[in-house]
Amino acid sequence: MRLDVPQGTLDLMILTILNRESLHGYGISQRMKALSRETFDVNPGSLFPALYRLEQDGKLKAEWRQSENNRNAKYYKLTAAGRKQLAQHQRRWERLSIAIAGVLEGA
Amino acid sequence: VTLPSRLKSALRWLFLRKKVEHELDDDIQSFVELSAAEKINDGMTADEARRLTMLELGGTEQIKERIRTQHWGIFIDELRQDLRYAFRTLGKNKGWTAVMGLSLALGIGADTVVFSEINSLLLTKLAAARPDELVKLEWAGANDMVTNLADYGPTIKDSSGQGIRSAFSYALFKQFQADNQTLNGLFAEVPFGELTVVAGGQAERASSLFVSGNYYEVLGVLPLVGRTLIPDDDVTGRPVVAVLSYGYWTRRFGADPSVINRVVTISNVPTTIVGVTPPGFNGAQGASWRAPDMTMSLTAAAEAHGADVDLTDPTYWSLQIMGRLKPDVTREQVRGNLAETFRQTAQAGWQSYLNGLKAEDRLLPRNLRSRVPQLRVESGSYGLFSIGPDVLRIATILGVVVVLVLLIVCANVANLLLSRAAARQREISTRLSLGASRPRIIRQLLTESALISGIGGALGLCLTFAARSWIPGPPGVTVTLDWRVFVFTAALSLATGITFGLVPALQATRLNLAGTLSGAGRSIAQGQSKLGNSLIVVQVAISLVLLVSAGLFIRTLENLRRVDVGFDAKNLLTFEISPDPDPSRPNRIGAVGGEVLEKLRALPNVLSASMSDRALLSGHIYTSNFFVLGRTYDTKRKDTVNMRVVSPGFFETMGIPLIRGRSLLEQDGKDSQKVAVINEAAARKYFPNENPIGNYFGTYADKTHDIEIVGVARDTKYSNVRDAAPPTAFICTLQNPPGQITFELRTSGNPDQIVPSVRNVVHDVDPMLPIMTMATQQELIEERFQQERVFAIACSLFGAIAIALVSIGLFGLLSYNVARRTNEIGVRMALGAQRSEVLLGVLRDSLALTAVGSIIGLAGSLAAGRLIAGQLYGLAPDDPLTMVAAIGLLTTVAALAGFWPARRASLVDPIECLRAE
Repeated sequence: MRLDVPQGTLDLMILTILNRESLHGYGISQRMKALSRETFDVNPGSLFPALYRLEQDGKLKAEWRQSENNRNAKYYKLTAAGRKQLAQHQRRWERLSIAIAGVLEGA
Repeated sequence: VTLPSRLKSALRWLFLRKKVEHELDDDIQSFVELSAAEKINDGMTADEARRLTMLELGGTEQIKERIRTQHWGIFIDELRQDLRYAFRTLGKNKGWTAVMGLSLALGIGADTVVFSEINSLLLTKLAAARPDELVKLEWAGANDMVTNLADYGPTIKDSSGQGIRSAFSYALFKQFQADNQTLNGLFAEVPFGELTVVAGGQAERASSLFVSGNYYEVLGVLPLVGRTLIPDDDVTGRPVVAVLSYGYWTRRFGADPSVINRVVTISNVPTTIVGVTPPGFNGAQGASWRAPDMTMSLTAAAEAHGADVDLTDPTYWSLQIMGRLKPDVTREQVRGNLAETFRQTAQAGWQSYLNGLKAEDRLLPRNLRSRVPQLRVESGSYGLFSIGPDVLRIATILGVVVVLVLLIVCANVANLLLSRAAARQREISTRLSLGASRPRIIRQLLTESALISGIGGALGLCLTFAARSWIPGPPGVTVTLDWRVFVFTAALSLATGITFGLVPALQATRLNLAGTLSGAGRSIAQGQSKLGNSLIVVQVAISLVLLVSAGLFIRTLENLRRVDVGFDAKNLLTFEISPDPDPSRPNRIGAVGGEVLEKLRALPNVLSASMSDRALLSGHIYTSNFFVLGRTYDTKRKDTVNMRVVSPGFFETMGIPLIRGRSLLEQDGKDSQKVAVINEAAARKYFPNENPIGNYFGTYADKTHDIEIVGVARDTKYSNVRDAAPPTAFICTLQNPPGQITFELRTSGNPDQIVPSVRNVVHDVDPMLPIMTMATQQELIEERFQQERVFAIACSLFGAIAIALVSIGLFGLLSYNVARRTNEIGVRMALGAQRSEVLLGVLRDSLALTAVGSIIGLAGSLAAGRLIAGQLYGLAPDDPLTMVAAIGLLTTVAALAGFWPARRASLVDPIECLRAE
C-alpha cells in the first residue's frame, strides 16, 4: 500500500537520507521509496520545493556533479545547520512516536 | 531561518534570475532523465518511460512556479509583515514618530544644503574639459615693472607673506605664447565690468569679460547654440562679436535661438551675438562664480570700448592668464619654460616706458626702481580666482555649525531609540516567550529603525529643496545641491538609527525571559538611561556653543548698526548712473549728471541733493598717493589718502559738518583752482601741528601744486563700519569728472516714496540711461554687514533647532525615567513623600543634566570664541552677558521640558501603584 508522506516529516526524511551521503533529487526519491519499502512514493512536485526551501534556509548545500550515468546532476548535501536541524527533528519525532505508541498500547 | 541566507537567496533570485531558473530547469531535467533511464532498464521503451516520468512529475511548470513563490513569497511576506507592524507601531506612537522624523529631517536637510554650498565653493572644478590639466600664472613679491595694475578676485598671500597677484600685460601674454613649449595653448582674459546693452529698444546693464580668441578652445568648451569665439575674432579691426552665457541668454532673451547673428548695441558699439555657452559653464574664474553675461574677443573689444584695458602699454598689467599642460609636463617645467620670458619681458616693458619719458623725469625717485617679482605656476583646476579668506572663513564657520547640529541630531536619534527600546522590553520578552525567534525580532526592530530613518530622509530631502533658498551662505555663489552630500548625511542618520536600534534590540532579546517578565530587568534599563543622560549632556553642551555664538553675532550686528558713521544715514536715497562715453559729446557724463541733479533738486520732498563718484559706505575704495607741496619725499615714504569725488552740496546733503574752512562750491569749476576738503583724520595725520587750509597737494610727486585744501570736514566712515575713518580727501566733480555718478537725495519723508519720480527724472534726461543700484543709504550700510548677518542668522537658526532638539530629548528621557520609576515614586509617596518633593526631584534631574552640559558647553564656547573672535565687534568672545543669557535660555527651556514629566510624577497615585505591584 502506498501512503502520502505524513505532514511535516518530509524535511526529516530528506535530512536523514542526506546525512549518510549526498544525492541528487531522483536519488533521494528512490532512496525514500526503498527505505520505506515502497510505502512512500514522494511526488517530485513536493520534493523539489522542499529541497529548494531547505537550500534557501541554509540547511542544504548543492553542487553540480556527474551522475552515475554520466549526466550532470545537482547533488545536495547537509550543512552544519542542516545537521543541527536533523537532530532537533529526530528528537521531536522520537518523543512523538513514543507518545503515540504509548497511547495506542494503553488503549 | 537565518536572515543572511534568506536575504542571499532572495537577492540571488532577484539578480541572477536567469541563472537560477536555468539551474532549476537542469535539475528537473536530470531528474526526468535519471528516472526515464531506470524505467528503460526495467524494460520500457524510451517513449513510454519518458511519458510515464512526465506523468509522475505532474508538470514541470507547476513545480517551478511553486519554488518561485516559495523563494519570493516568504521573504516578501515577512517583509510586508514587518513593515505593517512597523507602521502600526510608529502610528501608535505618533509623538515619538513625529519628533524622530522631524529631527532626522532637520539634520539631513540643513547639512545637505550647507555642505552642498561648501562643496560648490571649495571642491568643484571648472566645467572645462579635463580641468586638472589647467594651470594659472601668478606672481609674488614687489613689482616695480608696472605703472598701472588692475587685479581682480580676492587677495591672498604666499607662505612667506608676499602678496600674490595674477595680472599681466598684453606684451607678456604675447611673449608667453611665443616662447611656450610646455602648454597646449594659453589664453588671457580680463573682466570688463558692466556695459549697457541696448536690444529691442531696452537698455540694461550686463557684465562682460574680454578674452583672447583661443579662450574656449583651450578650455574645451563647446557652444550650446551658434559658435564660440575663435582666434580669428581676436584680430585688430574685426567686427566685435559676443558670446552669451546661458543664464543671460535665458534671462534677457528668453532662450530664443534666433538671437544668433542679431546685432545689438553694447555701450554704443554695434555687436553681433554669435553663440551661447552651455548652462554649467561659469567662466574660468571659478566653478561657482557667477558667469559673465557676455564674452567678447580681447583685441576687438578693447579697441572698441576704449581705455580701460590698454593692450599697447607694457606697464599696464590687467590680464589673467591660464594654460593647459601638455601630457606629462609638470607645473615646475612650465615655470622653467616661462620664468625667464617673464623677467625679460617685464623689464623690457619698463624700459620702454622709461624711454618714453623726458630725460629729467627718468631720474625722479619714483622711476628709479627695478624689482621684478617671481613667476608662479599654480593649478587652475578650480579656476583663476583663489578662494579668499573671507569666503573660506564663512565656509569654515558654517561647516562647524552644521556638524554640531548633525551631532545633536544623532544624539537625539540615539536617545529616542534607546528610550523606546527600553520601554518595549516587556513587549519583546513576551514575543520571545511566545516563540518568536531572536533574529526575527531583531529584524523587526531594524525594519522599524530603517523605516523611520527613511521617513526622516525623505522629509529631509523635501526640506533641502525648500530650504536652499533661505539657509544663509556665502554671497554671490551659485549652489548646486549635491547628491553625494545628501546620500552621505542620509546614510549617516540611517547608520545611527540602525546602530542605536540594534544595540538595545540585541540586549533586549538576550534577556533572561523569566526575569524580565517578572519585572526584574532594570539593570539594563538603568544602563541605557545612563547612556541617555550622557547623550543629553552632549546635546546641551553643543546647543550652548551654538546659542553663545548666535548671541555674540547678534550683538555684534547690533553694535555695528549703532556705530556713528559720521553722517545722517536716515532719509537718504542713493542711486547710480553710468552714461557711456560718447566721442561726439565731450564731458557727457558731467553734463548728464548736472542736468539730472538740477531736476532732482526741484522734486517735492527732496530737501537737498548732491552727487559723487560713489556713495560713502558702498564698499568702493579709491586710494591715491598724497604729496604735500614743500615737503620732501624719498623713495620709501609713501603717503596715501582715500578719495571721493563729490559735488557742491555733498556735505550739506549728507549732514557732514565742516570743522574748518569752507565747503566745495559751484564756483569751483573746470577753470578755477582745483580745491579739496579733507577730513579730520587726514588733517591729524598729515598736518598734525599746522592748519591744513591753504596747503597744496598732488597725487604725483612732480605735481604737488595741483590741489588746494580749502576745508576740513568731520570724520566719516569710508568703506566699512568697523574701521576708523581713514584719511580722506574730497575733490570736486566739476573739476574731476568721474566715470560714473552716484546721487544722494535727502528726503523729507520715507525715501522709498520718491523712487518713481526719480525714475521719471532720469528717463526724461535720457531714456536709454539705466539706473543702477537704487538703495537708501541705510540699505547700503546694511550691505556691509552681509557676512555678520550670515553668521547671526545661521547660528540663530541652528541654535533654535538645537534647543528644540534638546528640549525634545530631555522631555523624552525624563518621561521615560518617570514611567520607569512609577512604582518607586508610588512607594515613596506611600511612605510620606510630598507631591512637591517628587515634582522638584524630577525637575532637579533635568536641571542637573543641563548644568553639567552647560559647564562643558561653556568650555566649548570659549574654544569656539577663538574661531570667531575676528568677526566680532564691540564685545569679546567670552562676553559674560551673552554667556549668562544663553545659559539662562537653556535652563528655562530645560525647566519647561522637565515640567510635564515632573508633574506626571507628582500625580502618581500611591494606592494604584502598590496595588499594581
